[in-house]
Amino acid sequence: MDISQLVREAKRGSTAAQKCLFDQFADKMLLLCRRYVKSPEDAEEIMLDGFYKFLKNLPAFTYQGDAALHAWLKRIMVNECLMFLRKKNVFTIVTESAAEETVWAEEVLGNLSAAEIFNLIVQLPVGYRTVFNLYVIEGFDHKEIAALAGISEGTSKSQLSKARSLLQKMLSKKGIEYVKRKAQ
Amino acid sequence: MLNEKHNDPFGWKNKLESLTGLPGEAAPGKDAAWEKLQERLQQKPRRNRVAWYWAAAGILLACIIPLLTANKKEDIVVRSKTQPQNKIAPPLVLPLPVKETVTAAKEIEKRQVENRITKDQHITTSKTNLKKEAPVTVITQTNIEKDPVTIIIPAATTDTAAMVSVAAPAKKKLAVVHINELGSPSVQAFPPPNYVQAPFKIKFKSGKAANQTFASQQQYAGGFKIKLSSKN
Repeated sequence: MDISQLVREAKRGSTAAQKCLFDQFADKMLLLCRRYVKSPEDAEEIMLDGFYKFLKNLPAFTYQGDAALHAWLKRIMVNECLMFLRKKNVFTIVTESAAEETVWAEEVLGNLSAAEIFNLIVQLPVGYRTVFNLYVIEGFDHKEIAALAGISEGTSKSQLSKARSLLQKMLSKKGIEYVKRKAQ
Repeated sequence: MLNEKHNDPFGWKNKLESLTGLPGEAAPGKDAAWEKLQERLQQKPRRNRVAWYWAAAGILLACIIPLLTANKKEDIVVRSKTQPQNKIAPPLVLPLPVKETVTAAKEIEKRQVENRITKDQHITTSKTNLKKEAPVTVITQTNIEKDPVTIIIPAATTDTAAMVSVAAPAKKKLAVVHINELGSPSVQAFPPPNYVQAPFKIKFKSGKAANQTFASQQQYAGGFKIKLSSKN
């Protein structure tokens, strides 16, 4: 059964179809939540909250392709993560006007695996991580991030800059290792 | 999401989306998570039902309370309307001012001449002869309307306290006595100038007995303090 049929059945209230949709997206959504929230338990709770909203609002959703459904579900999850972080008051970030431009080691970054990228992002502090996820992975601009996270645009820019410089430091070690491994 | 490609020059987004699990970690139990989710999906409607019950109870209360209060108000109005017709409760009697007391004394004098006052309308003061000479008007329900001295104030319908007092059933019908009708020494309306007082005996606490009469106005004005007891 393809996703369109599953959505149709789930809209009618079929528990089996709802479970199929959950099985199909649960892993990806859990990883998405874990990119924002470090704790696996909290991430799972957030994912369940997101799926609850997804299934409750599914009858009002008009299916326009798998990508649209996937994007909608992702947006629900990101919103849930931001709500959770806002409740925990992690966005009390000191605003810094100057955002230094960091020079990226492009060769190293291009060759990183998905798991390595994931582990690098998770190691970032919560404020840096949230802005980095929203800007680089989800593709929001600073204005949108400011509205979503309840911070100023300047804060969003500075947080991204700091996240990048910190990643650079972490990657420099990885890059050296990577280069060394290649040379061998 | 306008500058999505610009934000992610190294294709991290695609790489992360293709990631289904972390190499070092065990896959999370989907079934357990699904059960939790299903519980939540089933629990929520119950909460809504409870909310509906509360709302229904609130609406019922909102309907019943005004009805009950309206009924109570109607009862009070009906009783106050029927009260004057039945004449159950005694009318309010106020003491007269000094000027009116003079006219009241004259009225009493006229009555004495005409012999209209019956025996029931006198109060005897122990064994003394005062009962014949010093009449005191007893206001009963029968002579309230005839007596010009008494002022009957009808119960005000607007005053709730008066309404309640009128509505309450009278337990005992007690005769109302106007002490003002005896007159005061300052006014000197009583005893009248041509009044002849019969002598009477006064027995003091010490055992002495004496005859006494109101010989003059002065003596009357001075007055006596007599303590009445069962022996007298």
